[in-house]
Amino acid sequence: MSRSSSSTSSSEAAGAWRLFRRGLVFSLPFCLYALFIFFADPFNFLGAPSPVSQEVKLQTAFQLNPCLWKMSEFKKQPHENIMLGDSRMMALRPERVKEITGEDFYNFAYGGASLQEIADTFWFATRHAQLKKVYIGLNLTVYNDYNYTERTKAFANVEKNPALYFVNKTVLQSALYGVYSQLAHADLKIGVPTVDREAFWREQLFHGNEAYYRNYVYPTKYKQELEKIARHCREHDIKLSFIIFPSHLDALRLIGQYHLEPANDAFRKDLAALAPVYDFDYENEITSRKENFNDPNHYVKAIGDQLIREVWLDQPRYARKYQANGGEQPKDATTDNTQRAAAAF
Amino acid sequence: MLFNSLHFLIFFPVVTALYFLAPHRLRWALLLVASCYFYMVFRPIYILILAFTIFVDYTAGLLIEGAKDKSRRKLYLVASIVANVGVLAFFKYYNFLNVSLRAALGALHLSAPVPPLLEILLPIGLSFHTFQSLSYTIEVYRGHQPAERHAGIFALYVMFYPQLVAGPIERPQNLLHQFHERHYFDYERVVSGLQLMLWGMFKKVVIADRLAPFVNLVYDNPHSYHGVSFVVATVFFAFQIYCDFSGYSDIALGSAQVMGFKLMRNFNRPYFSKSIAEFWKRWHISLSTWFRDYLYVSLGGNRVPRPRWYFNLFFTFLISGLWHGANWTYVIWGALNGGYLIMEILWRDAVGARRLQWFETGWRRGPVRLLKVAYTFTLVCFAWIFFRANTVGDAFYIIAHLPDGLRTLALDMHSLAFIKMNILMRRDKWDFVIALLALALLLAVHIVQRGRSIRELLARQSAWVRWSFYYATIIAILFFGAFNESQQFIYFQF
Repeated sequence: MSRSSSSTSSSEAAGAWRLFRRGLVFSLPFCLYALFIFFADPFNFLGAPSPVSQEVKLQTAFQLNPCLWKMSEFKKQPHENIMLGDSRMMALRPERVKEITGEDFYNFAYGGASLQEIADTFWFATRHAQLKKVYIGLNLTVYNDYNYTERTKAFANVEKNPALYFVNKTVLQSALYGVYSQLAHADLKIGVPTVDREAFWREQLFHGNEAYYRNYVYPTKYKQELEKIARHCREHDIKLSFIIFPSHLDALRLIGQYHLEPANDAFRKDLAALAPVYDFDYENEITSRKENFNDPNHYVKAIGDQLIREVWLDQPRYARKYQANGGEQPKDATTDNTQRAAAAF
Repeated sequence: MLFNSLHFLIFFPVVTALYFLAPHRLRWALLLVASCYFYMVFRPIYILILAFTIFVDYTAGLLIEGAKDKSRRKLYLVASIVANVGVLAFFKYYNFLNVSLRAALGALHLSAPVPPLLEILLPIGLSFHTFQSLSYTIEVYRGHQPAERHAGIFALYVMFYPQLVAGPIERPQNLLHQFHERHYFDYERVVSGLQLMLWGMFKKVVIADRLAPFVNLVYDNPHSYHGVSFVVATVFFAFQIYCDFSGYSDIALGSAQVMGFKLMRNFNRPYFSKSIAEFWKRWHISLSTWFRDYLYVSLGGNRVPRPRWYFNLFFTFLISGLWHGANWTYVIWGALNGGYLIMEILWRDAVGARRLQWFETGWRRGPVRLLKVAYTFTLVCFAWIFFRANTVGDAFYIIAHLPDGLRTLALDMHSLAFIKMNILMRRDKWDFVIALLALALLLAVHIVQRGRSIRELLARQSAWVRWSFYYATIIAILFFGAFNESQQFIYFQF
């Protein structure tokens, strides 16, 4: 009896040891993977000493997911003044803002941002900083229910459960690109256009404007979200302003082509009811010249500096300024745009 | 504690290792402590409800067995049922009955003093462990099970952590004796249990949790959607609830199997059923058989005149609906299923069994079976509308608007905005694609499972194949699993 029980327990021990051994070998790749992510730390989320330089991370991780990057950065170094929006806001330089106003701003904009992401980012910033000034950059392509992405959720989830950082697909991709780029001393040119200017111009018109206008849906939910943000700003003494960035006439014409003038007017009226609006997106000297743009939606650096002067110093020259109480009111598209543009100069 | 949490990832190996390291005589105590901890992670104070249930039914079992005459045995059984159902009624149905009573009085323009509503948080898995405990006293009363003398082991029978909060609802004949037996560490059995857990986890986080946001968007805000969205969301819900619940059951069965316990099978590819009657033999088997054995049979089953038989069926499903939740939506869902069954019986009688059999012979066999599966699935999905809808009004709204946009659907499908808004529900298209691929994989596995067990099939492969399969599944869970919107298991609320 005792022999049988001892042989059972020894076979049990052998089985357990076999499982343990195999389990160890089996889990080895996962441990190595975790170590890889830990040291590559593409978004500086873990704060580990990383062999991948900051410059390389900016060329890879930042380009792949600016949202995750900026949220991680902001959490470590919160700012009281922020700029929100898509790539058009991202192109404005906070250094330039500091030069002319002496105020520190954090550019919290992402390429291809949706209004949902902008709103999420605003609430994220309120959780981590006592905000004073908020500038939100919007265009009709963003003020559109069809434009719906939610990259911000990934960071919110990672923040709640850091283990998710290790199983995030962008983190893995960024880590691989970063390590490769570091070892091979190669700039992967992520986000850099590979076609010539004309082709890129056409591509942007199609993907950046037509696709959104063709499928335009008035953003009832987003409007409510913006109202909530405006209310929060009023209650907490936060200065809120909107900027409607200039797009080239090629892009502006598409609004008419898709019969979206009423939507375009409603967009301006909705914003003006909430906070001051600086509107550059109409036929004017900026929007009519191709040399002012890299592509139909993205102005060149000099124009960016001009916008900063007009908005931050509140000296509209090309901008039309709308605000709820006083100031010019947005008018319907039926008004002669050219005449209005001439009046603005 | 959720099976799909980091907490459980630590809890399970630690408890299992301690279980095999502990001497046999202490294992029940270890499992009991672990089960208490598992339960108390949710809401510690509610352990007292479990303690009450255990005390009542342990005592009732001993008293029933010791009672000399039948009336006394019956008295103890009734006392046990009243105590168990009383706890269930108080925590689960008090507010429901209260609100319903107020509504009824209001509709009749009557005024009567109604007790106030209470702020009660439903104890997790209450209906499951209450039913499991009840099955013990009923079986002791029927003489199928001797009363358990070891209070600790009886407590473990009610609280065994793998099936504590969402079943399978075990019978004492199957489970109680297993706590007395010594379980040896068996490598093959452990690996097989781990495989089952892995598959359950895949179903939960890769399929159910990925489908959940689509379903929630539509069902939580039905007035913003129409036609095709309702169809997509309802079909998705059918798979969400299946993968959620059967995924939980797989993890429960697998984790128990690792320690050497065999729990009853809870699902058997239910969406391949060819009739509603068959569906209920393959869906939530432990609950269906519970109601069959303890309610339907007690009412007389089918050995009564026809009208009474129909009543028994209908009533059993009505109660089954109510068991799921204190809401009229569940009651209607139960009634609908009872109605389906009665209709099936009437149809079978009207057409005749021989004629029905003729349809399934020769070349007709395949297409007819396919049609039957499709018909059953459609009826089940229709009933799920009531199960998932937040209110009866929402359910009727969804049903009324199901055909909306059907005529223009072909045209609408050319619009990206339409697809994005009404089919993708504004979510990332990859979420949708991954969900569809995972569903296709699920169906493929089910088709393979028709003839053989996947685990047996896997066991015959070389280590390279097996390990590649494990790695692929784990990577799929980690990278395609919807941890971001991690949800509780649906059946926890019952």
